[in-house]
Amino acid sequence: MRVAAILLRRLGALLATALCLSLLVFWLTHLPPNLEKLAKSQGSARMSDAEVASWLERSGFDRPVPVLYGEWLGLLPKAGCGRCGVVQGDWGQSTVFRQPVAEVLGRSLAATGWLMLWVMVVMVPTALALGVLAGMREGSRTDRAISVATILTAATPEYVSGVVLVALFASATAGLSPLLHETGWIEGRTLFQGTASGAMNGITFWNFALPVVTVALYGTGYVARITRAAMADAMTQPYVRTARLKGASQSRIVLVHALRNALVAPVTVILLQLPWLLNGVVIVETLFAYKGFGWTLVQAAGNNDIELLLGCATVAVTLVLATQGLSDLAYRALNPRLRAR
Amino acid sequence: MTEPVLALEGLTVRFGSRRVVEDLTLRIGPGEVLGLAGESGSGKSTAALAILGDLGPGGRIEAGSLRFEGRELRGLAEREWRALRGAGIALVGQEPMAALNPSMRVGAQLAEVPRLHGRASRAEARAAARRALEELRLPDPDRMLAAYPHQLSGGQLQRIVLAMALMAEPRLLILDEPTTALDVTVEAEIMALLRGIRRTRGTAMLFIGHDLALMAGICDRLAVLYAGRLAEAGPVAQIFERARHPYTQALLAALPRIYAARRPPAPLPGSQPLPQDRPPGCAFAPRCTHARRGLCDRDPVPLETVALDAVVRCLRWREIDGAPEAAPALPGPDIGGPILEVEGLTRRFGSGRGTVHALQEASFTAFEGETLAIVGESGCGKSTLARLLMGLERADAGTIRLRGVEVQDRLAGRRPRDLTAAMQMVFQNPSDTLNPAIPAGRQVMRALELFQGGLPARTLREGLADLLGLVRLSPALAQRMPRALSGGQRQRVGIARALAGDPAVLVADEPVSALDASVQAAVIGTLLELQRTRRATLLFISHDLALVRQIADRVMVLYLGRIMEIGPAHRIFGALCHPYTRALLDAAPRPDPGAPPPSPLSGERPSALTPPSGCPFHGRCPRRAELPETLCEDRLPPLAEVAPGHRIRCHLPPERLRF
Ligand SMILES: Nc1ncnc2c1ncn2[C@@H]1O[C@H](COP(=O)(O)OP(=O)(O)OP(=O)(O)O)[C@@H](O)[C@H]1O
Ligand code: SF4
Ligand code: SF4
Ligand SMILES: [Mg+2]
Repeated sequence: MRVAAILLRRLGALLATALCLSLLVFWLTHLPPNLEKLAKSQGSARMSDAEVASWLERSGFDRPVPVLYGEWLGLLPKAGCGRCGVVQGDWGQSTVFRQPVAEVLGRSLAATGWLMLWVMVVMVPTALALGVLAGMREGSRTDRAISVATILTAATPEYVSGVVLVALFASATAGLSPLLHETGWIEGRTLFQGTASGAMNGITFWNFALPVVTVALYGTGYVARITRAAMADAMTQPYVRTARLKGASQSRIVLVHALRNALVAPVTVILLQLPWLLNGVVIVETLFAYKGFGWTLVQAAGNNDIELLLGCATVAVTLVLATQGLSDLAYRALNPRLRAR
Repeated sequence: MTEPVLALEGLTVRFGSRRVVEDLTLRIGPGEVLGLAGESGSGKSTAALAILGDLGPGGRIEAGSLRFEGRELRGLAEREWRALRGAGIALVGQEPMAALNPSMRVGAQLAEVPRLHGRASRAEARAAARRALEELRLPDPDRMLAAYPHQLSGGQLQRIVLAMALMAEPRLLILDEPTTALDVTVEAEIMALLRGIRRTRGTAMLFIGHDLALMAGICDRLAVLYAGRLAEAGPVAQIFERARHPYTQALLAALPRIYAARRPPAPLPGSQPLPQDRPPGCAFAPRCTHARRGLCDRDPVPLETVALDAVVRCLRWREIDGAPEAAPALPGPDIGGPILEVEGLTRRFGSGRGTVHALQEASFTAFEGETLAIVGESGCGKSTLARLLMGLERADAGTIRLRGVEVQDRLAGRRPRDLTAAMQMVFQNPSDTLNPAIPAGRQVMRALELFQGGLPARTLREGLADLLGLVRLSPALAQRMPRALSGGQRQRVGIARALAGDPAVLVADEPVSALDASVQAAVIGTLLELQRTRRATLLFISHDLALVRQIADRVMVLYLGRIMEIGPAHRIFGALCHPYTRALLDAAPRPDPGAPPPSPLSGERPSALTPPSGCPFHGRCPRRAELPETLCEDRLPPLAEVAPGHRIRCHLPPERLRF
């Protein structure tokens, strides 16, 4: 099939799914108990039921959910501004940050973008290299050593590895830092900073390394496992034997013949990992007080900030679906058998 | 005496604790072709990989020596191996598609060889790749060089693999079943190429195979391997004329012979033991009709030199005389009225420009008690026809009448039970259709319950015992799970299951092509015997013309979804036939070292996507020129009756189609 046709179909599916999911989230956030909470947090906590009802009526929340959803989307005219909704680029107002949702989202996505970028920069080469080294000679000592390490990191959730890393490298009372401080190796009280809030103003190695490593650690283990399996499988394929019997050297066999075919699975997985990174990001950003997308999501949910929450959900869904489409395309690009048809 | 290219002395290879190859002694002189024959699992490929130093993890050479041009290969360093592989010894394997890197262009894979072995520049390597393809008569080499493997046909790929193996001009070429995955016509083409290479370059070859008929056409000498040991070796003509080892004799008797009409190949009972349970003494003793207790089952049998350049590993070779008994000829068929009538059956896949015409307007009738063989190259629509008959797929047009009832609109599960029972199928690959988690006998029982439900349990048990007895499966084997059975045994379970409903029509789709020659003969024997005793109609789908010749009453030939010919076997093989049938016959290998080599069919088979206009065969037909102008290109010849019951689709008048 033509790539353009696939892209179009994907895009259509993406939009449809994003719509459905945003409707679902919209409906959930507009359930009566939620609205009551909203009224009390916006008005006063001691409102009576009648006051709540009249507040909701004044704010327009007493109308049917589909109408509200249409207004939010920007398909139905809203009182005060004609048609102004998501479609027109107006995502509403965040109650927590007292700023437009679009602005909050833009800022936090940019912050998370940097985090993900560095995670990828660390994770992808490390994972591929480890996986290839291990899978090249299945059962060798290198393979076993790498396998143990990658299984361990892939089995450790971020909230564990994050806390351990902070204790080891960024605590004034435990781990390496006191030792280094006493012996005069470092000026400050900790080797790395235990919080990444400073990174919002300028990323440095010292304030960013720990969050990046925490997220990357899990992903590296996982992708390395997949690379190893794909590589080990490729090394047993008849075409690898053909190459060996042509007189090709081990390095040529690995790099030219096996690698390309072995990369298909890990590349697809790495792309599918992107949305999953968002998930790890929620934990790590909260742990390191880094004001990115994950942190914003937690704030929005915790404070019943309906429009911000809606915005976060829509963005997250879109990202997940887009990366899935991307991984499909990558799979095609790496696989000439699919490309030709 | 000239130095042999390859000399193996007492080579023993083991995988873990199992000796896979034992005490193998072989030599290949300059320019000589040595055939290494044996059933699956006899250790042929293992020997080849040992010669190339590529046994892989777990495999090691335990004893013996391997000398290539006088140089010992055991203990060679990795660097020396690299220089030798490709340039000194090259390998062509069984699966050309798997042997080529799927994500690399063919040109790059070919050019790699001179880059690795000479100091060729990129451009020189590319030119060499092009020359190599031209030399193997591949049409349109530039397109081939730019193609990925999946874009080419099996025959083209195997020629590319061959070209690749020849590029560094190796002194020894190892061919491990190079044509097993290919059609008869393509096989003939590859064999002709190999003979040409041998003539022009004088490359010594080790030709590994299990098809003695094929090997007769190219080998100078033959070595027969049984259970990892050499059973017999000698000049090929001598072996065909007077095989000394009972195993070789049995293999020869099991060969289908194209000129032996109505005489099924002689089966060899039992199967080859696995490396771990080889008996003491002669490994062949459990299957040998000449075995003597107390003699053959005691000590390992030594290899004995019996004539100049001929060895045999049998204690009784002097007493055993020549050929074993041939199987008795089949009695004449007892043919009744029509049972299966097919009219204008058509099946298309896809639509628009991408339509594949898998079957076009097929009409024929099968009669009670006959064997109707359906032959043709891969992709000609044989299996589609079988699936349509069975209701596994729906026809786009046409009717199928089974016992006078129209069934084409009823898919498999929707047919009345008696009609389902009346037509049953035996599949090509028995393992695919048996449930791996249920004992073999239980699966036959289920079929019995399905078709003869309501009968008391005791009658069913008796029925099961009868069926297993018919296909010669012992009750002990019936208790086993399918994976614990050999291929031949599994196929017999499949046959027993198909027979459970006492079918009037048995459709067998390449029932033996996945099996070894000796096992093949046994399964065919079972099928035929059943057919005669139960008077069932057998639709036998096969690409093996020799086999068809031996068992079929009538033959139907398909080409690109069209019936090209249908008629009595004795006429098609003996009096006159369609030019395409003729080409198939000429391409079939003959089990006779002296026979002229089979002649391949020129031209590529057109794809079913773009079926040619007029006669579908016109692009490859050697007789086309005998007809005026563009008749064959313009008009589809009718399937015309040339004699009672014999119809041919060709513009040539029948008298010009005589042998
Ligand atoms: N890597 C391996 N590890 C363990 N056993 C093996 C290995 N390779 C082959 N064998 C065993 O060695 C025996 C001979 O195998 P081999 O592949 O040489 O047979 P073959 O004669 O080439 O058969 P075929 O006709 O099916 O290709 C078999 O019993 C097989 O199971
Ligand atoms: S040694 Fe005995 S059992 Fe073996 S092949 Fe010869 S006669 Fe048969
Ligand atoms: S019709 Fe023409 S092309 Fe077709 S088989 Fe006859 S001679 Fe050949
Ligand atoms: Mg083999």
